[in-house]
Amino acid sequence: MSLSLQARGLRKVFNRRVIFDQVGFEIREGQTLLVTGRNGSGKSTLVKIVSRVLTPSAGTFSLTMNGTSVSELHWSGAIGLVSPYLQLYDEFSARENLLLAMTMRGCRADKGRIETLLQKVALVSRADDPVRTFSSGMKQRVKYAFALVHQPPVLILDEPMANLDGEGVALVRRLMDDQRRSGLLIVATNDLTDVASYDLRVDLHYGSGDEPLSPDPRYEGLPKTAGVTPEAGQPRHAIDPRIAGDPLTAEDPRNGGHSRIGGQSMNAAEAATGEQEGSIEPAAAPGEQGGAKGRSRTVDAGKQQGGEARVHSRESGAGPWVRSVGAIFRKDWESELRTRYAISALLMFVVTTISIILFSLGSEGARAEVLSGMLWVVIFFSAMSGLSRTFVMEEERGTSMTLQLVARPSAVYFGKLLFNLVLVTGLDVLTVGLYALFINGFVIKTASIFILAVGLGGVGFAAASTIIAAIIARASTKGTLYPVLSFPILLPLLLTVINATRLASDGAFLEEAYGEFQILISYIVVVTAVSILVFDYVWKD
Amino acid sequence: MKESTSVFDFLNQQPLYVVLTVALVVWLGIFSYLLRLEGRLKKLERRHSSSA
Amino acid sequence: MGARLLLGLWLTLVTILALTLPMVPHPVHWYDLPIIPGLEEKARIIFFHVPTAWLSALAFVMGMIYGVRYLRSRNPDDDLKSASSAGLGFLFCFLATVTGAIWAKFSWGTFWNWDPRETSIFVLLLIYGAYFALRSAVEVEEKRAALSAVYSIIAAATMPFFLFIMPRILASLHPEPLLNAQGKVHMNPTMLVVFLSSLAGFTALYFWMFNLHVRSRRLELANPQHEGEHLRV
Repeated sequence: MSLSLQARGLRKVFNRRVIFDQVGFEIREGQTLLVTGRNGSGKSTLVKIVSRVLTPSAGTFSLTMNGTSVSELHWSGAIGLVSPYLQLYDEFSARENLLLAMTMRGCRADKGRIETLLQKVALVSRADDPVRTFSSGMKQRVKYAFALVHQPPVLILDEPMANLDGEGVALVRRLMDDQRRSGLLIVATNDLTDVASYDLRVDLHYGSGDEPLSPDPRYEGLPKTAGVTPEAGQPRHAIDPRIAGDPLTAEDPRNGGHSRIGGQSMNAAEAATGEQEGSIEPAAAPGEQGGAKGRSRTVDAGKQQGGEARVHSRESGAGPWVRSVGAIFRKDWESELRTRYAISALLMFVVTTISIILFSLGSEGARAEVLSGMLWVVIFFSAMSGLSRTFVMEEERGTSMTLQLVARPSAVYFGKLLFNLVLVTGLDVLTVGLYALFINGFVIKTASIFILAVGLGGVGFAAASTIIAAIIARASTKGTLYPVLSFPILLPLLLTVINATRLASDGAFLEEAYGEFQILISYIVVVTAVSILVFDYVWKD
Repeated sequence: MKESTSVFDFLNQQPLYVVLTVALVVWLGIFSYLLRLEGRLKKLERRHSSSA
Repeated sequence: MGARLLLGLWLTLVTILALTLPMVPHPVHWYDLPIIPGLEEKARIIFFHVPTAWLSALAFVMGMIYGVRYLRSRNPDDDLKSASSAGLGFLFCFLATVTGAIWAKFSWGTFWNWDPRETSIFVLLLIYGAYFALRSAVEVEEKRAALSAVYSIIAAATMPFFLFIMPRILASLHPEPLLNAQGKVHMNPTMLVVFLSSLAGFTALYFWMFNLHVRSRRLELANPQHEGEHLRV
């Protein structure tokens, strides 16, 4: 198997501030890349870009396996990332998190693999406790298992030793050695203890005046392969030249290190083909329960076939995608059952608004027309209280990136849509039930129109509110912004369902409401189609 | 004196001309504002391109 | 500069013609405008009201197109143009709403009565408002640009539904002198010429304003330390 990762001319701009520019490198199977640079130089940004959770402002990179380049859609299957800002799903146990890491990627659940990994990171005894109760060092270990669950050909570690004790450090060293043998390893850190074990280095210094690391003796024997070519005198925080009108000075990022790469990768590749997995020998963690059992079965079948099997197994049809959607939906659903954020908000809103209507009507009641409009007022505001949770929760817990890393955007969208669809259906049933029970004068004469209107209206509500929720989750004033952005988008839907409800309470024939249904159906189709087209831009930074 | 009363008389009989006057004043105000903005911008752009 | 002065002259002339040409029941002379029954002199507002409504729609579409271009190019200049069109669109949308409401007060007796056209322009105002609320709530500029582009695309996709929904809910009283439901043109050639000249003049004015706005924003972004100073005249 041949494996290589190339990056060329990478550039990232935040708020028109250039973080880095013209970063390039090329690593082959068996090689390791060290990314260095002081705080704020963009190490983590580079790591996120290579993991495809951030989009570069310019530049390209590609991963080639056996001569074919890995497409963006299969990227999550090829990359494993461990980093301090990658959050786990707190309310789930370590074991559940690993299962999620597998299924959300679209892989089949493989219990054996999960047990192996738990043993490797010495967490079997606590595997069923919620990650929330873990210490930061234990979380770091779970993250390793999370990243390795699909046997990624490329392993990226950002500050790999963060929060680890001596035992943990030894464990991570072993994992890194394993990865060196079977794939690519990229490490971003300023911890220089193992500097000699890396083949290549990217140094992210922008600007030439201040470079304390460059002649650093600790980098003895480690050539600077790539990186940044500071244009003399250019300010650190340059303004985006596309606005300022300065020409971009391009240059070839790959320098003399290139020929060296060839020679080295041969050696590394030979080493790798030798004994693939023999020495993944267990993280022989002292005091680990069930360690002996683990040692005997550390070598699992999948890995021995090497990387080909890993990636090709996920390229078959829609199966992985459907699994991924299902996993995301189940995750949200399970999480909701445990935290009850959205459900309790929805329930309380429905009860509150209906009682306000009851108080304001007093004993007089109102015309059926007014009441059918009021029903949708209740549904609209209740929906606005709960439907954004699914995205806002990810953002607030910091798990958006985890999800970006493991699942395709379209799978995320449909998983969340499905979840909101279930919430809206529950909301509709609850609201209509309470409304019919408590509000006098609310009569539906044509049940078929009403049921269709509520059903189609619910789907439309879910479709529009899901994409708006994805947008507001990335903004700063999430709660108030949600109804503000949703209302103009939902208004065509609201007017139509109100009209249909009015027809239903007037006792119109089903045929008279066909026009409404046509509008509702085309609204659902249009909003869903547009959402799929634009979701990538909302979801990925 | 006589001249101005006749203008007022005229405007009294033809309210449309009041509308016209107001509309023209508003339009010419906006127009001269935009012209001045244009001039200022040109100056700033020249200064910016010569300094950069 | 010449083109700008020509525009100034052009719109001055249009204003004078729009407000002075006589309206008669049966146009005889080339300069006569027809009287539209029920509107009379109040019909003259179409020379100003319709162009503002047209520009608010044009600016909306242009903002969306620049938004799409931003998403493809990631060029901050496209976002700047998108935001500039939205800003001008909001201005013209507001003008169309105000002129429409004043006219409605004299023709229908109330400033606002949820006529389908009024509802549509109200929704457009809401969308512009939501667009700017969103922009002010996102700190990272690249993210702000992408999110607001996406929002304008979604809004543009749902706006057309009003065309189908409104007639089902309310019958419109809004006059359609240009082309009514029967396909009958109420305007005579003179009126049409003045109307189209006004439309053309207003459109040129919009592009001039758009150009000024974009250029001043560019200067602001190029010199962040004097943010906002340039526009103080």
